[in-house]
Amino acid sequence: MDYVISVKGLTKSFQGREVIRDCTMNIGKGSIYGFLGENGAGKTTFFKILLGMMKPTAGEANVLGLDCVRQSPEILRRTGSLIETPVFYEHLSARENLEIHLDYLEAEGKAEEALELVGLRETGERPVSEFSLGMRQRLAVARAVVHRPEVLILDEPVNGLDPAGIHQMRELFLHLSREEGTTILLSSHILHEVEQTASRVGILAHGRVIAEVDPEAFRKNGGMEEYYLKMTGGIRRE
Amino acid sequence: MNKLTALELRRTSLRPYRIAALSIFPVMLGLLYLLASLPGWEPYSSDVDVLLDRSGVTGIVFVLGTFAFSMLFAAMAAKCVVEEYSGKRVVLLFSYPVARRKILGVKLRLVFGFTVLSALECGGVVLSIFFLTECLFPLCSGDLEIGTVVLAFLGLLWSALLAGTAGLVALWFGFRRKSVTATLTAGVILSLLVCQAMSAMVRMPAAWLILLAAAAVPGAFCALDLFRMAEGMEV
Repeated sequence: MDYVISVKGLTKSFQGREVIRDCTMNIGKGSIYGFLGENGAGKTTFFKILLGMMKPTAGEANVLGLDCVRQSPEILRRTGSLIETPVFYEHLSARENLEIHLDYLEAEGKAEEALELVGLRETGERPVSEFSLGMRQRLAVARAVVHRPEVLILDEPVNGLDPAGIHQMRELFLHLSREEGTTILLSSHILHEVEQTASRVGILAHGRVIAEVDPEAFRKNGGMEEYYLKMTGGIRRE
Repeated sequence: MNKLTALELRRTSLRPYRIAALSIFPVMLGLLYLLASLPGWEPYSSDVDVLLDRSGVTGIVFVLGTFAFSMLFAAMAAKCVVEEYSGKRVVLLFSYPVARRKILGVKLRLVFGFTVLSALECGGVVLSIFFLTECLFPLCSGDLEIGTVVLAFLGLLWSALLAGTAGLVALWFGFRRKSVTATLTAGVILSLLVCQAMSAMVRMPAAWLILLAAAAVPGAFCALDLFRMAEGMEV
C-alpha cells in the first residue's frame, strides 16, 4: 500500500531531551488519522517535522513520497496546515488573507468558496482584527483548505469553536476525505470528536506512539475516553 | 517589482512609517534654518564657527537626520522582521513554499530601500528649499557655489546609506535575541556612534564615504549572518 504520510524511527531532541522517540507511523490516502496525546506529548513537534519547519534528530519522515527535510517547499505547496494558534494579517479582511496565501503558494483557488465552506461568507470586508476566536479558527481552516491540498495537517482544528462550528468542521473533514480523497492528520483533545471523525487513531505518550487503533476498538473497550486514559496512564484501574 | 516584494507590500502597512518619515522633514527643515540664522544672532561667538558656511550647517542637519532615519529603520525592522520571526508569526511565514532566504531578502530590501529612499527624499527636498532660498535671501555668508551644492547632495547620499547600514547592524542584534527592545536599543547606541563619527567630519560631508566604507563591512557580515540564522531556524 502506498502511504501518503510515512514516518520511520523518528526522533527529535531539544538540548539532549528527546521529545519524540523512535516513532513509526503510516497513513493511507484518503484516511482521517486522529492524533491524541497529552499537552506537551510532542504532537505539534511531530506536525512541524512533517511540514519541514523542524529537522528530525534521527529517522525519516515522508509526505506524499517527499522527504520532509530536503523537499519541504513541495510538501508545503501540496499540503494545508494549521499549527498552533493561527495568526493572520490583522489589518486585512478574511478574503484578502486567503488571497495572499494563494499567491504565496502560487496556487489556484477560490477564497470565497473556502470562506463559504467554513461559514464565513458573510464576514465581508471586515478586518481580521475584529474577528472572535471561533471566527479565527474557521478562517485558519479555510486557509488550510483554500488551495485544495492533497494532505491536511491540522493541530487542534476545532479549538475554540462552538458546537455548530465543530459539527460544520466535522462535516467538512469527512467530505474532503470521502469525496476528494484528501488525507487528513489531525490532533484534538476533544476525544468524542476524534472518535466520530477519524478512521484511525494514534496515541502519543512520552514521545512514542504507544497505540494505533481503529475507533471500533474503543467501543469494545468501554469508549474512547476510558481507553485513552488507560493507555496514557491517566487513570489506574484495579 | 517582483512578486514576493508585491506580496510583502500588500501585507505590510507602510502608512505609519510614511508618517514618521514625513514628520522628520519639518524638523530637519526648521533645524537647518535655525542653525543657518544662529551666526546672525550671535556674530561674535566662537561656538558658531561651524555654522558660518553652508557645508557645516547642512552637515549638522544630516548628522541628526542620520540618527532619525536609522531609528526609523530599527523601528520598521523590529516590526517587519524581528516580530515576524518571533513567536507564533514565524509559523505562518515558514508555511509558505518559498525559500527562507528569498523571504528575508525581500524584507531586508524593503526596510533598507524604504529608509534610504525616505532619507534621500526628505533630505533632498530640505536641501532644495534651503539652496533656493540661499540664492534669493542668503542667511549664510559667501556666494553659493555649485560645488557646495553637489557636495551637500553627496553628503546626503552617504548619510542615507549610513542610516540604513547602522539600522541593519541594529537589526542583527535584535534578530539574534528575537527582541524588539534589543533592536531599538541597539539602534539608539549604533546611531549615536555613527553620528559621533560623522560629526567629526561635519564640514566635509562628502568624506562620510570613508565611514560608509568602514560600516559596509559589519553591515555585509550582519546581512549574511541574518540569512544564515533564518535558514537554520526551527520554529
